[in-house]
Amino acid sequence: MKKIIHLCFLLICYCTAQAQNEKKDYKITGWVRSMDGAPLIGATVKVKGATNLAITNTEGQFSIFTPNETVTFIVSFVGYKNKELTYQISALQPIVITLENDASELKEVVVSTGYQTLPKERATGSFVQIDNEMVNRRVGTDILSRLEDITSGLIFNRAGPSGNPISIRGQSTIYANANPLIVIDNFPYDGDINNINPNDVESITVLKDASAASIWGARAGNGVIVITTKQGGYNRPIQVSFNSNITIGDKPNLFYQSQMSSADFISVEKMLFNKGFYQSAEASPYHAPLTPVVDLLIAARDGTISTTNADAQINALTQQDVRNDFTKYFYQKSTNQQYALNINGGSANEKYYVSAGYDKNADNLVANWYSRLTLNAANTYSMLKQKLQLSIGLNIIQSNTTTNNPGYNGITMSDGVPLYPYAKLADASGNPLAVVKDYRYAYAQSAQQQGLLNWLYQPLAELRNADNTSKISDYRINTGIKYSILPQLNAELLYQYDHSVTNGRNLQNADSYYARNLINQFTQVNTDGSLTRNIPLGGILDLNNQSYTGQNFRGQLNYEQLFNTKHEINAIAGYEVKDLHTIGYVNRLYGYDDDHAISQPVNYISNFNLYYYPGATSQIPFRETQSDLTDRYLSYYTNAAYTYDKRYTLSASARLDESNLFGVKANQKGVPLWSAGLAWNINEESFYKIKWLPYLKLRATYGYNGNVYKNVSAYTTASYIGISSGTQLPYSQIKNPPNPQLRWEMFQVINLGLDFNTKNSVIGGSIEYYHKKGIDLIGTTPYAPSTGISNFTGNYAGTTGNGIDITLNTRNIDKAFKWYTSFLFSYIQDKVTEYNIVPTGLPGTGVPVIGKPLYAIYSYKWAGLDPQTGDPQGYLNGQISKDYTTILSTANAQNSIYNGSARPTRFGAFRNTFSWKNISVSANISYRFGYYFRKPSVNYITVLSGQGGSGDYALRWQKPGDEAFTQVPSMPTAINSSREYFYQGSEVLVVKGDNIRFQDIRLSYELNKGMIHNFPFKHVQVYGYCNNLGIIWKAAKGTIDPDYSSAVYTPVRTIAAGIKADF
Amino acid sequence: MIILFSGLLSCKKDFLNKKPDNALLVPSTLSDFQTLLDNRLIMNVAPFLNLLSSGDWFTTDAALTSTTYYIQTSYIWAKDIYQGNTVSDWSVPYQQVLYSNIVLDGLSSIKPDSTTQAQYNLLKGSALFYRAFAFYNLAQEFAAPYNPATSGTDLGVPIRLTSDVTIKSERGALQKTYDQIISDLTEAANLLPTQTYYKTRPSKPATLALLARVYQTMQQYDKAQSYATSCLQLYNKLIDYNTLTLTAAKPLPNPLPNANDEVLYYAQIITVSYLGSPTTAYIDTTLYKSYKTNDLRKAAFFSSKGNNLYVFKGTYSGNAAVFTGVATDEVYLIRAECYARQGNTSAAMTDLNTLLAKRYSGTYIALTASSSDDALNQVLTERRKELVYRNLRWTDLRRLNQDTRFAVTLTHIAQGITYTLQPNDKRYVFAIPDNEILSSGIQQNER
Repeated sequence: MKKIIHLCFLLICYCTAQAQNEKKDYKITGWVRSMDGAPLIGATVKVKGATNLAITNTEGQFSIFTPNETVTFIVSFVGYKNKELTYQISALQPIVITLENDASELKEVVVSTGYQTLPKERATGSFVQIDNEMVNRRVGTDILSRLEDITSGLIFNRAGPSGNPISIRGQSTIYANANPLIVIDNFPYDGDINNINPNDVESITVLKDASAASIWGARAGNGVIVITTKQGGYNRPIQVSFNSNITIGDKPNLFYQSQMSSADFISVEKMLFNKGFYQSAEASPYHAPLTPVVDLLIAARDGTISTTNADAQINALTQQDVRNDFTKYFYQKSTNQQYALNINGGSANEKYYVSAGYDKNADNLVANWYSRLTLNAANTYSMLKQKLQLSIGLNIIQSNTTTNNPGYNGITMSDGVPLYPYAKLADASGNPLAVVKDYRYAYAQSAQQQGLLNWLYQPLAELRNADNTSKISDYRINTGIKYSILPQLNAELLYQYDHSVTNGRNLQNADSYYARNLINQFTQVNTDGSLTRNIPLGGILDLNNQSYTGQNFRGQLNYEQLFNTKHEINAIAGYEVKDLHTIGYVNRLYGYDDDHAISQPVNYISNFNLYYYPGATSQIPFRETQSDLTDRYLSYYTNAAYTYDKRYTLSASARLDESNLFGVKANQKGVPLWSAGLAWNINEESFYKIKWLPYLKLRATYGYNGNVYKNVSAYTTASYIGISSGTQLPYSQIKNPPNPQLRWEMFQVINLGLDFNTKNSVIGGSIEYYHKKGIDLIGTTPYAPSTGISNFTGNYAGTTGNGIDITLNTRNIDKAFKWYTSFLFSYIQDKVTEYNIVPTGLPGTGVPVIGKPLYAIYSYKWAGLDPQTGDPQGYLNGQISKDYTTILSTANAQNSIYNGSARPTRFGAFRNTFSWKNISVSANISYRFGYYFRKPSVNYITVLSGQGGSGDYALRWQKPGDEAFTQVPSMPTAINSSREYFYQGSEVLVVKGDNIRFQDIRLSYELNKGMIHNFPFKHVQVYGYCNNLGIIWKAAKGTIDPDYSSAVYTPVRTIAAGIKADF
Repeated sequence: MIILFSGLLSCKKDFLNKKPDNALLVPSTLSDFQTLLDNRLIMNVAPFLNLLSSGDWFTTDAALTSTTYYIQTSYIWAKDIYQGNTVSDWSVPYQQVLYSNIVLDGLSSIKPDSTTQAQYNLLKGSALFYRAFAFYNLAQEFAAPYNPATSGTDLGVPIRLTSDVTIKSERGALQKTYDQIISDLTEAANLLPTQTYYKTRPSKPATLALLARVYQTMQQYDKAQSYATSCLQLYNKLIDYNTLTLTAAKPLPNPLPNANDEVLYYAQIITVSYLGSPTTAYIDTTLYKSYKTNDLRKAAFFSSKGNNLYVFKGTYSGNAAVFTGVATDEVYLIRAECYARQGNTSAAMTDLNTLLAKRYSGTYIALTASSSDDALNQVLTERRKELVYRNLRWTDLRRLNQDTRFAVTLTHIAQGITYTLQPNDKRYVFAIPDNEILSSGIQQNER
């Protein structure tokens, strides 16, 4: 995974020495520079056999004292090979040292588990390390997207529940949490991950197997993402870094999804009108909304306007497409700005990191904004001869999201009915126009004459009336004490306090349609004709306040010792307490006046007559809720590794979690989650003679990770029903029987890995195989009624998964011009193995079926269109049939077609980096194979309800013979929902999702001190980045993007430019 | 920081006992438990299959074909009554057992003080009573009739005594089932008050009456007699039917909350609309004819549907449902039967006459018996007439059929086919529903 730093450095050390007469010490001054002349800052220069130490300054210069005339220096610098050299003071000449490029000595990779950091060479488990260069490869506001296409085994999900954006090595759980655990430095982060500024991130470690993750116990099952933030360094001169970029995103294409043309839509409306479809709406006492065309048809029918006039007006509407108006008035190019500054460094006894970041994003949706301010300060003090370390850190995050524009699919008629396609949002000069919303246009228009508020809905004007913001304020305080009891043993205590408040504030002001509509609805006409407004005039303010307080405490012992140069032991043991308390409340103020911050009371109790619906009554909407959640964990853990002669490493880990989410008996039993691993550095063996393959390592691990489900309680839960008839006694009902056995889900994981690297890193990488088995997964099972229940949700389900992760890094050309390639390939196969409820009907995606992946696509077998009628045809008992109801009711997982997984089963990326001198270009191509999706098509339920639908309507069967070139059924004369469900579920709409896309390209140009005379910066990088470049190849025909088959539009192409400078 | 957490760590149990979601209503207080037990739609109901199979009623072919499958199958004593469906006769009593066990488990962690002791005792006694009543009702349908000779080897019903649903159900000996019922009721009798305002809540007399019924079922008539006596010493009110408006749609007073003096404990049948508002379930003609003309029950219990067809209306439930609880009339009849069986003819006839005096119009002429057998015959005849549609007939048939003197064969005719149920037929035990057998693997009844 790791991008190999390949620069060959020449260390030039020009030293001068002066004999100091008073003392016997000699002062030696020298410079450390890289081959291209840039100073190497922060390199360590030690005198062998002494405690003397010097660090090169911003000029790459160092000074050191030595009492001897002959000294041996050890020069080291992170990422480069140490160099020892012996120097004679009397020589008085500059020494040039070339650090040899040893291909097997890759830049040191240190992986972090959140409990410890360890060199990857000693690791037995499956870790992916995303170094700083890769973290910064992408440009963007959030941190998680930086992992995409550079982390083997990790995929961004486009199918399945929206709350599960990332999977590491597939999905093993069924109903429980499927998201990886995200850890920042030491503790899991409970807040919104978007709060984290990528500029503060040094590296990311992804823990994939049991050995890597099991230290996180009951929460490790979905993998762990450990984010390591930037820190200062002891003896490091002050360093100031600045990064700024701007990203411009294209305007979205609202024509991405095909949609019935306005002409087709209108012709259906005419047909429905002639059949009398709109009669009931027309006669409805509540003034049901009718589209302008239907209103025109009614006017023509009633003779209010002439037929020719109506036809002319209708014809004009056929030319209108509301998506043009939306594109023009509701969408724009997005502009994201990012600024980040950090200052870090340290003296011998103190290190610090201070940073500030500001992001401001103007969304593709006009009037939607996001801004984020992040402030960090971290200080570590070392005292008592480096025996005691005290650290304190503070992170403050303020973000502000403005969502004033609901977008194209957010603007609808009443009850979510899509807006008619020929709606007009603005007149020729851009003034807002009203569209039909909840009532017939004429009724809404006449309201003001009746003394009501204006009842018209102008979507464009609503952009100005909206004031919907969500502010997050998050602060985290970290403190730590670390004390070295012995050189090889230290104890540390860590404590984190995290408090985050999300203030949602949606003010729908007095001019907003929402406020006007609600006020009008609850306006009462008194007997004398006067009006009473049961909802006072003014705005409606909805407040949504969610906050959490997280406290984490950890006490840990770290032990590290090398015996007889061959036996290396590394162990930790600790105890952890976590308490996360989340509270929330939602409330609403009526008659709100924002200028004076006053609101007015309303009567929530009485039922009021609704103005628009004579005879109907309703209560004023009451929006006040509270929530109060607590998660608590007590955990004990240990992890130990023993390495013999750098050849063999044996590791083991165990963790016991107790939680208030588990049942009493699960807590009492105390069965720890554990893992064990073995690594063999074959190349360290004396018999190993393969010169072209200097690095070869085998790894094997086995163990268990856990996963937590919060929606089932271990407690008996009940709910009050009310007052019992007859006795008038309050009574309650058991909702959930007690489950003292309720416990975490368990994933058994076997991981086998092979790491290798050829000479000069021409080909390096790793191949891993894993097998996962989900045990005691949460599932619902039919239960013996003698227990008092007939269904029970508990630890009853099982899954298995197998997979392969391959990472290959090659250096195709490695001269002045370089061409490096990274290739990622992941294969996943998972299936449900145990589930006690057999689904009836065609199984939906996410419904567990034994032997199949959880996210799978099933379909009805398709027998083409009936050549006579254009009806869709399926099979019933092997015979072609149009008995849709029976086909639907007799369908099950066995007699339906199983098309395949709904999530990619083979995926990865192919990244090429070309560099020449200071110019570097890196392009990423990603691919996803082995999955299926259902493409959208016409649904006559909506068509025949006058709500339009897919543009497939134009391709429908219309006359015998059409079946030769279309599979879109004919329009039935009346809604037949079974026919529609059959077609929507049929195999003809299931398409292979396989695709290859040109994900992104990055171009950078580096400038270093020394390259330009009097260049004020140490290092400057100018970069450009272009994302979402488009699909190169896909299996499916047509314009639908397999990964965004139901989205309004695909992710827009973005272009970014930025500069990064270090002083 | 250490001080901060030392508080948390000092009490680990409390730390982990915090509710994950405050919105979860975790029943933990005495009043929480009371609301669970006051859920009368669950706690105060009893099975219906026995009533459907009891032979007390008949119907027409047309009515039968249009009704629910389990009424059709029960009516003809089919081997497979449920046709693969779930059965509330099995699941609902076990729901009562679960509720009772949740309350009993919850009470075990509460230490009552002087102010809460009475409520604590009521709850504990009630939970024991409900649990025993559920086991008893289950045993009447899903276990063999109690026979003292074979009760040690006959299979009982699963006895569940904890709220942990993950524990597997097992069928022990029938004797174990009855032992549990008796021990629950005996303990309950010591805890419950002599009177409860709400008839849905068990009282001490109701518990003693139920004990009398249980011992009668077990054919231990001396114990049945002694519990009936203890009950009647505490409570012996009877309704004088002369005070009723017999022409009313529901002539008997509503026991809820407490207007029906005869009702000791309120329970009704698990909702079966067919029997609840009977328009086509006609009372057995011979039974109807056995009521004398001056027997007020004839008019109080039945209403004419024309063509000499009569439907039942005399429920003690106060609503459309069949009453399945415990009432004093039954206790008098239990004791009368026990006296007769013990040879105490005069005591038997005294009890019988005490009851019947409240059932006849005009001057009541006391019945006499020539022998204890004659008394027993008379008591059993009156028992059949008094306790019609009370969910007791099935149990009586199972018990009395063991005695050739009282054995009867039930007959129904449907679609021209005559169906009979011979005394001591295997079909006097219902099959256990399939979903139970599949999930817990307990032994099925032979039917």
